[in-house]
Amino acid sequence: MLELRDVDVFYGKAQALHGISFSVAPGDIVALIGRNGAGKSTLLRALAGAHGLTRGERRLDGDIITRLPSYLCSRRGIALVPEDRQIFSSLTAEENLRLVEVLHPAGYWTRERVYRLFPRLAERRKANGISLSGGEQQMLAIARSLLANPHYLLLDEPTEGLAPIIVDAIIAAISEINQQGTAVVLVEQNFKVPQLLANYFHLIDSGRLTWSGPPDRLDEARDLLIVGRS
Amino acid sequence: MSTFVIGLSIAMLLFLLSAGLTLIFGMLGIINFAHGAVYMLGAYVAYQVAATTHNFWLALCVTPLVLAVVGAIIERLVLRPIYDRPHEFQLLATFGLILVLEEAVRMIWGLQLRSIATPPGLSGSVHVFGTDISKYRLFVVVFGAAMVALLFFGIERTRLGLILRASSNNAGMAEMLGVEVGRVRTAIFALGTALAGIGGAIAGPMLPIQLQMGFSVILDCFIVIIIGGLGNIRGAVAGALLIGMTRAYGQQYAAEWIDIATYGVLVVTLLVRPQGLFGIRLRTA
Repeated sequence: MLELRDVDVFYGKAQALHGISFSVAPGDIVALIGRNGAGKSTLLRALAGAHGLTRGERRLDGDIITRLPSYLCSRRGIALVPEDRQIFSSLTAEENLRLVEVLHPAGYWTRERVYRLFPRLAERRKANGISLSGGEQQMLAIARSLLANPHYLLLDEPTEGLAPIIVDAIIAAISEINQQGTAVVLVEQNFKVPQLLANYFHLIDSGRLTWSGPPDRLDEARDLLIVGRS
Repeated sequence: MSTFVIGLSIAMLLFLLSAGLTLIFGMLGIINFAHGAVYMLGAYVAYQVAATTHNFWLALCVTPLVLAVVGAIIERLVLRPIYDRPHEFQLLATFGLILVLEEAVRMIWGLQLRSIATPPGLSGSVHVFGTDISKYRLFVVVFGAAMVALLFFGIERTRLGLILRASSNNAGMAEMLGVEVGRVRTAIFALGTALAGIGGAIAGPMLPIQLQMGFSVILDCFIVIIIGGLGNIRGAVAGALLIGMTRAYGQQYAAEWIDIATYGVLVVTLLVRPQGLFGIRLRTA
């Protein structure tokens, strides 16, 4: 179980998260939905150890890992795919993958399997990161994090700005990744993609969780998302 | 012909120093003003080992190891605490290092000029293509070329090189994927310092070893890496060749114009291609 307990996060003087408690259990697909600036990315970064917590705790399987630096969080099975993907532009697609291979012990997800998950990537393996299209970069970013064989995969708006055919490929991939045993936290701005995948939903607004619930109570949440600021 | 070889040998020396400087900038984002002082330290350390053991080759092997340790210590004690601070801190810190290193060298070795004897077998000259070419300078060229090859191979083909390239490109993301970026920074600084040390050792038999030797060379190094593109090793090779040749041919044919020629190359490059010959144009965020 990966959790945040009562967490405050600041960017300088501005408070981005207020008393957030959030958890992901093994096997879950959890959706976090909110507008731009609501704190979705910040919450993911806090979960992944990529941002410090001013108050509260981060826990992994009961162990407090609040101060654990992000490279150690990575080694403990937490992987974050940021919204802007952050592909290494001066490396080829394949080198982006190889980097993670040399840093982590082998597991279910190998380069082979990852290329089977995203065949397009196999075709573009020798291309420089900087020359990949948005969809290819997104697939590469997910593939790259997968090679660490994470227990928890945190995806920040993985379908944003992508063509429907690629969105479908990514949805299928997320489903398979989850079936292979990786828990997923899926951040999006609306319900469209998450409702196809997630088994639990959270709504976030201005750094606070305003609603949480299972798919059968989603209608309550939809109103909240439309109505506006809480 | 001999001017050509001299130009190449200057280029190799410049490359050894510039490679370290550009690697350090590419990875750490720091302009290491102390790089010239480290080169000087390398020359003195090499001098000491050579004087004590009467073995230049031993000096050439030991110096980079000693300098690597010095570099690692500097990175952890002086630089690590100030990465997040404004650039002025780094400027002052590396400048301060120059003063510390110079004083340390002065205290240990005093003010008199030192030199390293040319190793036996490499003294004198060979007669090729109708001219006399210094054997030692030929060695410097060959050795430099070997170092270029080694560096390229190391960076492009090894796992360590892959980690280094990724970390230089995006340290934050590298860290999220599992790279211990702090250690990479220390390693890069140590490597850059070791390369400067090798430069100092190589320069020993060619140039007078004295406290100011760092100053005269560091300016050329900055020109080299600006021309070549900050953070780019290929650029460092190209820049070093350009400046090395300018210096050598300038000395031979128009000594009063050397500096103007050298800075002229810099100015032209900045006008035509400000990101450097191999640099990438950065979009302003």
